Amino acid sequence: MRRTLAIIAATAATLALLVRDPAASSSAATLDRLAKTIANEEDHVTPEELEQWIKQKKTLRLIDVRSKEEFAKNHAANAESIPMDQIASAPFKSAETIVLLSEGGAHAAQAWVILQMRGFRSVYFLRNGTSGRRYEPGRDGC
Amino acid sequence: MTALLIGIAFGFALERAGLGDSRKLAGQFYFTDLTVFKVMFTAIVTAMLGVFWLARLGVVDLANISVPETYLLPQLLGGLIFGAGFVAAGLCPGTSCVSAATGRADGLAVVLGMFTGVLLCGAADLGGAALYSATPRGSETLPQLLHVPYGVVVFAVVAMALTMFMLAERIRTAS
Repeated sequence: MRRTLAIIAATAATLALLVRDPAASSSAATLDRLAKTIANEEDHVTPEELEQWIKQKKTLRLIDVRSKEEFAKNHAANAESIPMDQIASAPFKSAETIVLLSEGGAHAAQAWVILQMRGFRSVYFLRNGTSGRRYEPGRDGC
Repeated sequence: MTALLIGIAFGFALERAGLGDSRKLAGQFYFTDLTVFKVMFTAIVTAMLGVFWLARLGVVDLANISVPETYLLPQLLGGLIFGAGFVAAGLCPGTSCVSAATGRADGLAVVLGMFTGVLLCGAADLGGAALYSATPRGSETLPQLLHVPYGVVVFAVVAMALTMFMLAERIRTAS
């Protein structure tokens, strides 16, 4: 029995050398999923939605990806500073809901892609950034 | 619910393999009983081949498999503490739960000690966030780290496991 299992394992491992890398098709599937998420507008939150989330979601983290200097000048209440150059290695938990903030929204959207590629699914960015018409940094609860 | 069922199945498999017995586990460190090595490597080979071929056949999407992130320094430190506790107690977290569930007093003592340690460590915030997030490496897998195709890593690990199984069998028959 043990010899049979060893032969099966050795055969399956040898064949693994010969077939196409499944990680390659997985990468394509990941890009496809990201594209669909963006197309369905499931990648961002509006200021109104964010206000609701702040009240409802206990595991919410507001991450400001601007520089430390910009963060020191003004920032949203309860926001944490993780500058763009640290977003690829900053520790997050998969159970957390992460909302990314930046001034115009572009850097937050780029950080969204990085965190998605790191495997975090519950990640969003604030539409139009902190300079958006309805968003007021430092406002109570936001 | 899925986690509960997998946990029960895992505990059942550990007990069936005899890994609820601290003497059997301690034997691994003195090379007098290589059951732990054989059970764990069998699990690694089974999971590795299973994930590879299920992904290759399109049943599993690798992107949906969560790979824990690596933080070298805190995980090395945690590994040392884990290893020291493993040698001292003769049980690791999983096997201590199995041992306690089967009514062994040493298993129960290890479970109580483990949870007390976790509670005290968490309350004291030893090291703080700076230590826990030091030396981040991201969600690296062996193919990414070694820059070799996934299939090569699968072949190498299975070859290594089968070779070690043969050596373990020779050690067992020689002793």
